[in-house]
Amino acid sequence: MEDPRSTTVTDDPVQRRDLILVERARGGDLDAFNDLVICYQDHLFALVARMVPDRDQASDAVQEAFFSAYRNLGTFRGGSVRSWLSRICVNAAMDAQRARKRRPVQPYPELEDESWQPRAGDETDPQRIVIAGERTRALNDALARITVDQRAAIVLFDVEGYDYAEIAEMTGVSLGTVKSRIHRGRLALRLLLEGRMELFRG
Amino acid sequence: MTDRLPASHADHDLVLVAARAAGDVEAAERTRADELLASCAACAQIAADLRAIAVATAALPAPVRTRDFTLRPQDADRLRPSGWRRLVTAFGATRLELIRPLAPALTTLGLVGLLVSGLPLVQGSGGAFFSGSSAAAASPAASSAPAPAVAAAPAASAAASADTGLSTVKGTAPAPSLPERTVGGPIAGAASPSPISDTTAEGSHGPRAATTPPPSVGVGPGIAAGPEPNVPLAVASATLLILGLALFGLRRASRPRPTR
Repeated sequence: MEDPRSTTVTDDPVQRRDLILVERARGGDLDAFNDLVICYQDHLFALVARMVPDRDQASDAVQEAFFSAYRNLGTFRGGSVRSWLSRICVNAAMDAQRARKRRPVQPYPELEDESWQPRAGDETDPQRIVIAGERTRALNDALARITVDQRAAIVLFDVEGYDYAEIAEMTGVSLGTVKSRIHRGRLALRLLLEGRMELFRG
Repeated sequence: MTDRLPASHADHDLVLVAARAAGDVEAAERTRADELLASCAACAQIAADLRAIAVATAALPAPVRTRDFTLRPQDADRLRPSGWRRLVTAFGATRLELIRPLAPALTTLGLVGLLVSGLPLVQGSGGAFFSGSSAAAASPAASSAPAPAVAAAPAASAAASADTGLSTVKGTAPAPSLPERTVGGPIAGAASPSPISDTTAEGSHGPRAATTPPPSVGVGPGIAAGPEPNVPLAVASATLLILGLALFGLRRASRPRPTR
């Protein structure tokens, strides 16, 4: 009898590729698993780094999440591999944040980290580039100061584009709680940014 | 009909404003939210700011990864389950939904079975306790009687209790004879009390109480006369309980741990 988890048919070529890699990794093919890591490590690191302000802790959380994914390949129930990995990373990030809360270290060293700055991209006006940098810095600073739960909900909704139901499922809370965290989190951000709102009113 | 809005901005519902800014209010609340935004400039400014913050958050540049997260072969060896752990993981991965309710069901059945099979025993010991204490209450002097008197003549005391136990419980017999049979020592405590003798003691004026000896009395020295536990049921229940707990343990061990 065929394993029902392996029979998920999908038209999405990316998802089909991911499922094939998962099947091969389940069979002990480490290279297949590492192909998944290569596909998603940038995205997942960005997700976790927005939730865990400390860069080293974010890296550790992502590494732990990939370890966990490898260990629990057998429990993958089909569907989107990307969502499955994201869920594992969100949990790892929230755990890291709670650990940080219990054991505070140097507060937010990453704020001086240049990698938070926006890339120049197509913007050529020096004044606009400076304003964009200031805005990013101010917003990251404020995001680092709201609660872990609010930050997770806002990052997942505004940055990652998940809907309320997906966030509720990922974080294990009700739909109403997700909405409340997002609305209250944004109000908290506005309060923290009160003196610098001109950067956002463009 | 909508509620009258508070006059002061400080009393306005900012969560409602945030929800409206996100386009996330129910139809019933929307009118109230729109009235609030139309009548309060500060609330309208907050709503605009929240929208701007959401846009800026979505446009945040992605932090740049500083480490490669691919697994090395030694990591894989360390993480890969082996032996019994692999079995447990396979169990956790199974989609046999029938297995999931089995653990609580077996545990509950086992507990109930154990309770039911042990009930007669509990009742028996409870009866002994109560009859002993009632005897002690009837005659305070009894509790201080020496136990060796009973140990010296257990058969005699059992026989005597068959004849005179009813009247002694009613307090008509001499006080020293009572503790020797009912509360003096382990043998008396086990042999004399039974639900039947308690019942007949209360109804001792009737002819049956006076003539019928309690069946539990006189079994033999040192042998409990109460009802025996249902051993097969107890064994079956214990087996079910152990199976249920083992399934619980297996489920717990095989549960995916997303963050570790």
